[in-house]
Amino acid sequence: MNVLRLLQEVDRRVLYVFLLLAVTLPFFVKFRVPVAISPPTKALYDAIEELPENSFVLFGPDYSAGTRGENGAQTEVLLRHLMLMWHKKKIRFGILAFDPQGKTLAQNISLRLQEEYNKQGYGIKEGVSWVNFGYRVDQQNFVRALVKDVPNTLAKDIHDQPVGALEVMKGIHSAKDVAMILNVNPTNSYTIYIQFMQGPYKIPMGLAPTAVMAPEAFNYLDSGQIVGMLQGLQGAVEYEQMLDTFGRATRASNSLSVAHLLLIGFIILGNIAMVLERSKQRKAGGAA
Amino acid sequence: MEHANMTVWILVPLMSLAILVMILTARKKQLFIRRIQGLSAIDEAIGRATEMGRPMLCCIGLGGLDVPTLQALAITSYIIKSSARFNTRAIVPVADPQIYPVVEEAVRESYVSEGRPEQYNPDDVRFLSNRQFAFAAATAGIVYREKVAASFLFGLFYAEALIFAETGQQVGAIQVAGTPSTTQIPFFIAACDYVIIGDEFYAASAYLSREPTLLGSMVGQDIAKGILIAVIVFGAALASFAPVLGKSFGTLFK
Amino acid sequence: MPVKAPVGPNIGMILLFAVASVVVLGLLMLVPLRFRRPIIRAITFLGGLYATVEFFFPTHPMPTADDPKAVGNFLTFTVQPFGNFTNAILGWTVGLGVINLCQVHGKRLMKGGAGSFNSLAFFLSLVIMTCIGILQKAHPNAINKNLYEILFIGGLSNLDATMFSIVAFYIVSAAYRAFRIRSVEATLLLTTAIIVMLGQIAFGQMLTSWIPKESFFHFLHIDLIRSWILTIPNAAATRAIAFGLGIGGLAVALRIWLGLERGSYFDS
Repeated sequence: MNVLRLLQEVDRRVLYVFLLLAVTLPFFVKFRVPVAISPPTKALYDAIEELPENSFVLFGPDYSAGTRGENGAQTEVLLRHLMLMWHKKKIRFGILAFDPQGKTLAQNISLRLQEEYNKQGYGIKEGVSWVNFGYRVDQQNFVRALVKDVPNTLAKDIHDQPVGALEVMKGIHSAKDVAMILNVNPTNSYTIYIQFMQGPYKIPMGLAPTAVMAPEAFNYLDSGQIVGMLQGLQGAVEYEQMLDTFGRATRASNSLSVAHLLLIGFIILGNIAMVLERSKQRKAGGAA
Repeated sequence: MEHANMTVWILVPLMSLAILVMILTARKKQLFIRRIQGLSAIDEAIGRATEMGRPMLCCIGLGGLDVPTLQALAITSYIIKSSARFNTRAIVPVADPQIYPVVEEAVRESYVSEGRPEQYNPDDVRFLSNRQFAFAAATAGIVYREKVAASFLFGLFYAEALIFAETGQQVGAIQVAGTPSTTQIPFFIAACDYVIIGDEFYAASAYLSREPTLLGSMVGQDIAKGILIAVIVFGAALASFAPVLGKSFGTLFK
Repeated sequence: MPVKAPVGPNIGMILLFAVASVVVLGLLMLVPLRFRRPIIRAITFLGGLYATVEFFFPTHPMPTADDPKAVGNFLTFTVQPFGNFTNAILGWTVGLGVINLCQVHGKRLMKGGAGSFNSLAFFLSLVIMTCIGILQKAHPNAINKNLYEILFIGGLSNLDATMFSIVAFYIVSAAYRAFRIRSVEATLLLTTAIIVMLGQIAFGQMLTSWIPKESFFHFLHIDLIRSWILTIPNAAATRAIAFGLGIGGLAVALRIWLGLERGSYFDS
């Protein structure tokens, strides 16, 4: 077969093998290449840093295991920052998921980070520094009720403890008492928070969508309805760089980079082969 | 926003009035609609499936009982009515149990309205899963096993959109897609033969049926868009010239 | 604000509504066919009217102990109960999906033949997952919890992630096939895609990181070009498409509400 034609029609299984190698091999290489911090990521970081002392943040991990590659890394960096902020300014957070898997995924990350930071003496405790309210249905109606009466709408946490009795919920009665909303979301259901919480109560909101959903969210960033955004896994990589940690996002960023370069390489190769074949055919046609 | 503010009070009734007036006047005169290539290709795709003797896949997406899914169902009904004449089988996977009885009824009615009630196979309208990727896996399995010749992807799609499109491409199906999910349009463009972008999706039922009511609604939508464009241009001009026009005009719009 | 004690189920009200539902359903079944569409249209119109009036009707202050700035109108207090009512009705539809799956796979299993083992796998999965899920809540001992973890976290979650990972492979094959210089638009698409992809990875950013930040050519940093593409032309285009979709959605909603919709089961 003609080499130029072959380069234009590489079997997809060959592409898949190359991609598999491109994604897995960099995991064994532990190094960080510095990345430029994008303005939306910086804005989100600054918004969390500037929270007043003793604030309460509503954290919404509305994702399932399917998107945990991106959303899981974003959840980890944001929870890491919130736990650091507990140490600095006693910032508390409550996890509220509208996806049944989200509550468990966020709970596991929170417990792991709690153990890690408590080894450094941060004194983070579930029920005091943070709480997991668990999974709820019907996001729209629930948020509409939540803004008016937080403790009675939530009722119980993931361990069936009454929410109103928890130390972490002291002083939190309605949406006015929530200092910030952080939503990790692979869909566009974050607009419900914008419509019923952020808009009417002017609560600053940060968003961590998957890279595919990020272009749609730029409209809300532009209009100021979202104060900052992590764009997919790359946003989590930038955030880890700002937090000066080497977490799962940074480990995955090398794979991300190599996979991107592989794809660009194949696209350019295919196009070069196509252009060369066309000019060859034109010359052959001209000679004839 | 829990209740309408001044902007909504002005714009929504104005746009609704434009749409309703055009619906009423459409019955009196013939309205023009430009050619939409993706929708014209539907008949071509049905024809291809008929020639090859292979079934079609009509996927209405992952939405529940909402406007985009009902619109997708209207398009699917048209496709099934067209295919019923040629005895071409249509498989309709459903992701949301809320919409399942509605889809079942719509598909059955489509066959009945073409005088082919015996062609309706209840097993071809099947609930697969309400989990996004379980639905994608099941639909991909249907595409591979049944070797569909035509794939129609109309409705709300999320990250799994490319799974449907690429598996259809791998079995050699002709694919027509349309979705209001703007983030999935690039994936459909890369993997499908014809793609309907933006509000061409909502124009589809008018385009396919040429119903005067629906055509009038489309013209009304265009007038509503004109109203929005005028508001945007006016607002942008005011915002741009506010410093020049002085403080009094600037504070007027704070 | 005082935390209310949780309220237990009111058995009397549940029975009353159950009987009322059966009576209403029975009456609807008895309605002649020719009256069914008008009834559906009437109920649709009333439902839409309720939502429209509640949204548009002028509001007045309705302060509560906890929210002194709360506003509402004469229908606002019904929104929450109506939402709960809708959820309760929609909750029943979950069973429909399971029934349909059992019908389809049951028939296939009875018929036998190629692929019927998949239907057997479906029934086994359904029964095992349901039993483990119930046992884990009813008797949360170590064995049940571990089984639940294995099936849910180990099985379902990882299968979800696997299917999402397939998208990465499909993107490579789709992009390799589609991004060709066939026309001006295709070339523009290809160039933009490559710039955005390079701008978001460390190795790509290194290509232009040598340009000093203070220099006039600082704007040529590929990550800045990528940001500009995403925040200016891309945001403008998606916003424009969103406006069109919003108006289209308004038109379809109006047509359905006022009974003007045509096509599929809307036709008389």
